[in-house]
Amino acid sequence: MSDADTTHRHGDEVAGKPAERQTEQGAGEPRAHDDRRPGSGAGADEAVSGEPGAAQGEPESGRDEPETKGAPLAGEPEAGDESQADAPPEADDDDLIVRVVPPTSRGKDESEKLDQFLLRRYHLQGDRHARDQLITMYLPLVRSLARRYSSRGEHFDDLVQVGSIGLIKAIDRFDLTRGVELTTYATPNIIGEIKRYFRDKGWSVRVPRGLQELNIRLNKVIDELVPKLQRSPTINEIAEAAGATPEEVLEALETSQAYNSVSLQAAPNGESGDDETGLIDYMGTEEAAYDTMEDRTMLAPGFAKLDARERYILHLRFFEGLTQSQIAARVGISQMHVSRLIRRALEKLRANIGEGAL
Amino acid sequence: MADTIRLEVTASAAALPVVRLVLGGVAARVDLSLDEIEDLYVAVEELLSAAEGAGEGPRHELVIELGDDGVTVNAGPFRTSALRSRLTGAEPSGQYDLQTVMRGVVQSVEVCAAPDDCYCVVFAKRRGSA
Repeated sequence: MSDADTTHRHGDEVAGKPAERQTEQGAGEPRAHDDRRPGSGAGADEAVSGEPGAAQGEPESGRDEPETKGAPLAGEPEAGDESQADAPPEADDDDLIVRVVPPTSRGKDESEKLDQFLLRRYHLQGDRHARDQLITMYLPLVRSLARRYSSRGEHFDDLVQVGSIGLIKAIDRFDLTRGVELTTYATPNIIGEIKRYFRDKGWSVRVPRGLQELNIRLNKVIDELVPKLQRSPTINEIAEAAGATPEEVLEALETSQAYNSVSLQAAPNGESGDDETGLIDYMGTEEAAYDTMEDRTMLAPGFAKLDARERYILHLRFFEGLTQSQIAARVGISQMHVSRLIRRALEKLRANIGEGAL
Repeated sequence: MADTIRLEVTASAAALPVVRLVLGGVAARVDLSLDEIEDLYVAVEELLSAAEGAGEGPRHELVIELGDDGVTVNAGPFRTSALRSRLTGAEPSGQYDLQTVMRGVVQSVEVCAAPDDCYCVVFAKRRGSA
């Protein structure tokens, strides 16, 4: 993706033609077939493919004709062979401009041929109708990818619009010489645009400041590394440049997924039902038995060192809550003796489980 | 460098962040680039989301194998014909779908037979492919 970006980048202009062509042809719409017919005069200038009616449905007689008669472009077959080499089966050039056929109703090879044909029409001849047709053809792909992110709190239609920008960028920046399919190049572009949209919208879930700052730093580091390395950086390279560990980098990158929050009153899994059970009802509470378990584990070695009478007295004092006098009456010894036994038992416990623990 | 990590997760979107973290950590070990890791994320998210939508579950196992030049993920077991057709294109879905997206982000996507009439999906991402 990055290679294609750098080798066929025409700037960030989205809706229009690549900047290079605009410069050649001025601010107006790109001229159809200009590359084939340099200096072909006023008649050619009238055949503006981007203008309504020029090629969409009712081309004027003869305006598209030179397309099959002109000199072939570099890397293209001779004009006479074009219908076999470029055009998909059962369609001539004009048909392709007029009809938008759902891609999945064609075979894979036919789709690829049509893609390549339209891409060449657009990039080599400046045919904006071919570009429009490519965009229309691939909108289902955008919708498919946008649907994937539609559960994250943003409207589906908004995501389709954002994804469409990614698609248009992919079509505009596509490098014909790379030999890859448009789908391969467009998919990451569309997803990247949607993700960028989420990223720019900010977090609605509270992310620890350290991770937020690292995430922001990573975005900067990545933006610096891509042109420097002329490729997408690895996690290790990003970590080194950001002064973080690879694990921290992955964690910080993952925080950018924290797009939206879910109400604790919301039904689990987004289901709506008659019962008013919310996510909060499924949340756990602190288990008091854990503390008891912890205390027992800590005290057990000490208690093992006490004799039976000491254990009994401690039990009466601290578990049943009896006073020393009550214990004395229960056991049949003096209160003073109970006091000494308790003190001695606690000293034994302290000695066995550590001074700081009691 | 053959190394294998087995990850068993619930068939739920809630498991995806865990899968992403593990996959990212593994992919970083073979020096996949950020874009390549993002591609892997897309592939596994698309697959598991489609599996969830097809009613697959309740658990999935992902076997992530590290190679010299990339990562191979074996996800399964799946049993629904709906998911299989979305992967193999046996039944046109009328739009660009799972198969197209996965083919766009990873090098290979295969549906392989698994025990008990199930199948698994194997896809690979190699270094230098993004």
